[in-house]
Amino acid sequence: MARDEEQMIGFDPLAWMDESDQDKGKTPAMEQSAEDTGKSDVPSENEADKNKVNSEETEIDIKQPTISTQEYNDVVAGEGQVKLEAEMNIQKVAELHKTLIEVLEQNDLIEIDAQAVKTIDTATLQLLVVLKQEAVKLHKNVVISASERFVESANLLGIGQMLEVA
Amino acid sequence: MSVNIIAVINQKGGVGKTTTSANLAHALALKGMKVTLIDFDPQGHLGVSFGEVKHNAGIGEVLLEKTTLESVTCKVRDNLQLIPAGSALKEIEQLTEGGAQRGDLLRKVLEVSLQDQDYVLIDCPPSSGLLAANALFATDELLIPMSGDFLSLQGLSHLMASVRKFEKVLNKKYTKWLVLSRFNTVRRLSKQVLNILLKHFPQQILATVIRENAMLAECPSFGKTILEYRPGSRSARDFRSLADDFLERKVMNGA
Repeated sequence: MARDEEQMIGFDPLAWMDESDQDKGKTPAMEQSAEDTGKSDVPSENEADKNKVNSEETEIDIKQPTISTQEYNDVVAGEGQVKLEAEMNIQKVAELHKTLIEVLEQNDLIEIDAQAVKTIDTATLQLLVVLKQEAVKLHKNVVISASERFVESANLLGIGQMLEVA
Repeated sequence: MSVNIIAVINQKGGVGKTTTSANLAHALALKGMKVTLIDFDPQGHLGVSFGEVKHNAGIGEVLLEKTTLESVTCKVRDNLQLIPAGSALKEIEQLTEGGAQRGDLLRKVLEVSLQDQDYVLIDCPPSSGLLAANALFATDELLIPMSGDFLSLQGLSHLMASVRKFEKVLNKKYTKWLVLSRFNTVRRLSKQVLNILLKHFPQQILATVIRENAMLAECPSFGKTILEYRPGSRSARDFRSLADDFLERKVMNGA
């Protein structure tokens, strides 16, 4: 594979941000000039109402961004996590494929815990490469925490950098 | 002037969060700003950086309502006070009860405290759990230290994914400032990292680069900031200059 010797960064992990901003039609920088040193305003009453959940009788402090437990869990622990077993082979690929599709649909950040992996075949690695590619298209992020054996296998196939485990 | 609460945050470790927090806060204090530092990392290294190692109680105990903020706040330098981590801080990360309120503990405390301060800097842990969530609930402004390597970019990507989720759910937009710390100005890789950052964070990277220097790693062992340990060093100059940038919002121009 040809590689620009001057280029020392294989890919831009932040690329999804610009694409995501373009989708919205604006960038954060457009909203925040260097001179704009003021903190964000306290949410307006309407905004507070928007955030209000199950609290119709509760007196709302408009300074308080009220969110539901579900929303909170989504935002704090909503990163999709998939744990790979010690032995990953083609027999498990179909099931893993199904899981990854679900996780990819529901999360912006997908964490693959491959730290327990002792053996992994090309079919599983191929699937993870496809996951990476699909995530880029969807402006999502996939992070793999890999065991040494996983890294060895990925590097052997020349896809360690692609999977960001090299 | 109301207090500015700023989270010094990056989920990647080793990018200079605590070094930036300690030295920037001290530089701001020396310029006459009233600054409070909150050590929000259970490791408690921020306290160590100021020679404060004897505190058992800190922000952890305050969040768990075991004590008051006033009782754990200590003056560490002129204009500069520290709220140590406290031995209970690690318990916050393990909280399983309390629903959404678990993430809102710090904001509630700060809402009624430290109102006489110009700046409150929260030195966040290198994680994306409950403590980081509490910091993101409590602030509208982020200071993100970045070193000049590829994994820093990767870490920033994760952080931005989290930040966007919070922006969506809390219906607010964070003001973000990046500071280049532990930066090797002669490495080609560092320059390429900087170019990528300038592309994605235009007008959001503070102008002064904190250059990598062994002295910055030495001074915590003496309980001193670089401004005390080697006040004439280039690192001390970097932090004084960074403090000016921070106050004036002076940023780098595009690539």
